[in-house]
Amino acid sequence: MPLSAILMMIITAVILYGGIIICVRIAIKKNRSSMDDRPT
Amino acid sequence: MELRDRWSSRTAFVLAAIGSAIGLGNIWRFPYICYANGGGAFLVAWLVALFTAGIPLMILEFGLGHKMQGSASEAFYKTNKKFEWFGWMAILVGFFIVCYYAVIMSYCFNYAYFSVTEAWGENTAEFFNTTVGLTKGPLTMGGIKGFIFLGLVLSWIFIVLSVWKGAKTVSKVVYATVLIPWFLLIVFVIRGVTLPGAVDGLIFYLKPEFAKLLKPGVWLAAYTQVFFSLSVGFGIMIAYSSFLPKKSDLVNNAFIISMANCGTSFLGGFAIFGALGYYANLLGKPVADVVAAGPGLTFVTYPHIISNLPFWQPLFGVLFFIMLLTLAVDSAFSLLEAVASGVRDKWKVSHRTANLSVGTIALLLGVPLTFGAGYLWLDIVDNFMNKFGISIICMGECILIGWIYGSGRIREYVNSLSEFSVGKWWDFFIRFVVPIVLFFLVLMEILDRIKSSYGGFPRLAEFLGGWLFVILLPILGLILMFIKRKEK
Repeated sequence: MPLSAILMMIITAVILYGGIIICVRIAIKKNRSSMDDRPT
Repeated sequence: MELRDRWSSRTAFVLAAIGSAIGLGNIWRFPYICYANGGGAFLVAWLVALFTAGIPLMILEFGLGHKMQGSASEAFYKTNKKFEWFGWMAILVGFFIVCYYAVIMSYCFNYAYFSVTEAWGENTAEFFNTTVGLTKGPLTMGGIKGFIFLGLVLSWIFIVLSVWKGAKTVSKVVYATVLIPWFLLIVFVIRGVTLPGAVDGLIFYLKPEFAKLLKPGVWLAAYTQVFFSLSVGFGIMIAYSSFLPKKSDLVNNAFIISMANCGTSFLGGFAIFGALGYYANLLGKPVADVVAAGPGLTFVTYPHIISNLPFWQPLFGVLFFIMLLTLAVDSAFSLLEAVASGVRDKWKVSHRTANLSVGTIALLLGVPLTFGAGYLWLDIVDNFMNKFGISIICMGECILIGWIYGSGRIREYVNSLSEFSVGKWWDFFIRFVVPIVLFFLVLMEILDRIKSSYGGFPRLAEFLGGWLFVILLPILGLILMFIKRKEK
């Protein structure tokens, strides 16, 4: 596989999946009481 | 007293919104669009489109639904009583879409059954035509296909039961309808990329042609893909966010949901192009000769690939169509919920009445699509609802909220609740970037349709299955607005 294709694959994966991980970590860190997994 | 439906948890809401956004398009459309528009280079345009249009629109719909605590029609009614018709238009786009989406689910039900014996044989194209009873043109209706009709009824039972008690039922169902297809997709990615010749397919999918980024068409394709895959413009996200408790994050959720949707599309490409590479290798042809998208990929090419897998063909066949069914069902029930919540908000009927009445009308409207010409009509309606319906709604949302109601009011509202804030850049995208891009999309599509009818279909069929529905949207929206609402 060409190096450019591998690079694009890695960059996209890092942005998308890395972005999700960062957002989920922020959500966990903030741990808003009304937004946790307790029934409302 | 709290009367509005509420999600059982934040996870349930996020999964429901992801499930709604992820649909068949993530598997059968994105990989092909990526390949056809510069491969790896397209990913650049696609990510830019995601962050400059997709996520801002998602935040707009979340902010609107949550602030107004209502479905699309109710939310627009609360911003200005004169805008209610526009909310109904958004709901109607979703309603027309779910009418044919259930028919595609019926195809998946039938193909899951056919997979057990690989009933499609060697000539999968001929088998598909026989299964749907394809006629020579949309104006020759042909007879009803019993098994497609049966699959349609089953699909509707599945859809209605999934939203039986609104957000309360959906909160439970989404754990299965989102996690199962994700798990199966990972199975198919592993299966796809480990097949002999898979690398050829992946090169095809991801090899970047950066020169294509200079072509406006590639950017338009990227924005189109983002608009159509995020489930914005049907009123779903407005209704779903209205079920969130008062103190709920909106911005972070919009980011998570949008990126999860795009992450699924990206992953789907590995499953599809890995298998296509293997298929091309098997036939001794270049990948370009076997590449396909849409129903052609799912019901013609992929069954052939399944039959030629080294082992466990029936198992992979059944799992593939179960994956498609579970991908489709949460998009379908979110569409039903968007319509049903509009009906409940305006006429104060019960969940059961709203779900059964909307579901029955949609089922009846879907019956003509189970006839021989149904597949062709489905194709026309799908094109017009996607290219015109969603684009017009998203553009209208940006104008009504961005320019008339005030995007700043929504921004301040979402920022007051969210785990991180959006700046004034968000207003810029909502007021300028998104409506301008959508205007060009609609304009180009109109010019295309003036040059030639969609898919080469007769102009009469194009009018009845396409333009008529687009014309009906504002008319029906106004009628629904003028029907007297029931006060509490």
